[in-house]
Amino acid sequence: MSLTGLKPHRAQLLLLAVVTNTSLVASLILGEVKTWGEIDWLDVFGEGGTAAMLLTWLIFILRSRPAGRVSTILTAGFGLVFLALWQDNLDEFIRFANSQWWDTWLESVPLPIGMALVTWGMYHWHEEQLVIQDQLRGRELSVREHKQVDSVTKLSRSDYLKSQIEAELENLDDRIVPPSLLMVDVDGFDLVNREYGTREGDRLLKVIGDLLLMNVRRHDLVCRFAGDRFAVLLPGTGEAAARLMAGEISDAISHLAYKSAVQGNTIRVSVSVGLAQAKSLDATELMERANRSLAQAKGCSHHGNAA
Amino acid sequence: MKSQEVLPGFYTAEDRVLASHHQVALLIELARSRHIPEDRLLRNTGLFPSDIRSANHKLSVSAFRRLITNVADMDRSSTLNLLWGSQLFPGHYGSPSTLLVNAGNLMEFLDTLVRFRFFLCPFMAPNLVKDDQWTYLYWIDAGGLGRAKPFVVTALMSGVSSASNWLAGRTLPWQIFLKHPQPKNSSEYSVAFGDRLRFSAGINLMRIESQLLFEPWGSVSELVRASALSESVELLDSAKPVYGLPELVYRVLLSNSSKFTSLQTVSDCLGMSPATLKRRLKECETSYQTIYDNARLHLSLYRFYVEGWSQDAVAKSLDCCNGANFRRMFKRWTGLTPSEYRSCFRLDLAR
Repeated sequence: MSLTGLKPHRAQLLLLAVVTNTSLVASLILGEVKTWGEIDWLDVFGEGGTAAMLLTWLIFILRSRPAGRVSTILTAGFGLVFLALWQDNLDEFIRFANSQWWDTWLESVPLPIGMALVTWGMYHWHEEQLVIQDQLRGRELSVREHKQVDSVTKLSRSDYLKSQIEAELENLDDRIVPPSLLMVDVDGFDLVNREYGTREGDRLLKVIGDLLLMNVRRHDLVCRFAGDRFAVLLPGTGEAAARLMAGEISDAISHLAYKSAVQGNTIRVSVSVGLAQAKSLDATELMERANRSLAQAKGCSHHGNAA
Repeated sequence: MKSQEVLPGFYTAEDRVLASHHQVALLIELARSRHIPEDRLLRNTGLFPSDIRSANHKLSVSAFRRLITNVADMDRSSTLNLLWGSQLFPGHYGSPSTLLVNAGNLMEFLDTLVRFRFFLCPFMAPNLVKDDQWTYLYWIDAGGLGRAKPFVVTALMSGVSSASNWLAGRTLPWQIFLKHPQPKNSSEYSVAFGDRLRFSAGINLMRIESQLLFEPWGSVSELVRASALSESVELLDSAKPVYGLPELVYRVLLSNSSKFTSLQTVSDCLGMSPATLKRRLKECETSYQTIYDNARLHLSLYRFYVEGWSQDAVAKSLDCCNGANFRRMFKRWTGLTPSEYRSCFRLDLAR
């Protein structure tokens, strides 16, 4: 596990390290170290293990988050709980006289406060997640699967699309209009890669993906099907409405005046769109029909004079 | 068996024969642009970043194989093979690249590719076969790619189809047959190659109608072409490239195809003992039996489809005791019987 993601949280982690070290030093000065025979190893394993686990959680959480209010609350909460467990574990090794009230105090007071802070932090995290979810609109439907997200466009890939079409088709009954699927293919994308390199090609794909997201409704799903082909799943949409959206998408992209990163010159692109509405319960069949419709839209060039 | 003569040199898995700054550098550049860390990429390859920037460094096939394995392991999108391929040709490999970009038609393009393949595609050997109806381009392992073969052959096919489409100014109806089974991300393949695509085909082959070979491809400079040709020929003469051991064994087998040669004869030809040959081939992640089976499969496919022989005639020519035996062997090579294969090969892929 690399610790690079922890940089924004340095100050909080440093504070935690200082406090735990202080308590260790104070315990060593004020208490009396136990002999080997006196140590209860089961307790050490249980309490120490819990503390170690908690620290791992904290590191995972911080690594996946930028700094900010929610991160601070969570660090404070987890830090206090950790401190309590730490102190609890220390007195397995060190005997304190009854007059050392602060040891018991450190064991019991930070725990409930820490738990309360974690709970409070979790609530805010949830609120924050709702905001982020809204930003992910169009990129995911009811299910989240980070392993199926394409690293270039940050859209989901075709395996996610397939599972979502299947989910849509399963819920279908007579009252609901079956979903339609658009296949959006960038014309001559190979040329962009050849002329400007794949880095530029990747950037262009990302921009086209973003543009597609801006041109769909709340409940639609945009995916990167493969290569330079995108798929747009339109739940509960008839063919006429889907055709209208296909036209809007292709208009929007033909108006894009994309600027290359190095020279800053304009690259204009157009797309061809294929369209199919679900007729059976087979997701693969729907994708195949949409792809065939796309091939026709491309002027049969992909199918050429095949055998 | 006659020929006992020892053939000229060959290279094995550990010989440094691949120019690191050409195709290999392209792949590394691409992997970097996909945020694959360089240390993970070059792990176990014995390559240093400075090697790729130097114009003289050469890479062994076994190091290349490990590099490909690293790329494939780290490539979350599993599309770097297709992307790398689409950049391979014409490439920047000196005069052979100039020659490629100035091809006046598909025939010239493919001829250049095959003739100067030691510079253009050193990892695998393209082989061109023509009949009246079809032109076939099939790929065989040159120096022992082993596990890396599916990655590389896909890249090369993607390269040929992408570059020929680019030069022709339209999408050419290439048909693609791949030996490896259908991968998980097959949608990437169908977007890259179109629908006319088959996996588990027993052979790595691309096919196009012969009538498209001489369709002119826009204006090319005859002068540039002529000078690039003479330069490339000079380059080839001075480089004196040799075959990789697996390819050499394959060619020895096919050159004696009237009666298939034994392991003993082949190793005599190469001036080594059968045990040494077997060991050397193992280092190339292949075996005599694999190459032997491939050679016989390729020959029987050639006789079926190009020369139009009957199944029995092919069976007899391959020293199989009988038709049933041949069918069993064929099924072992391709997973299909000859007649099943024939209906698959007819390719009703253009729905």
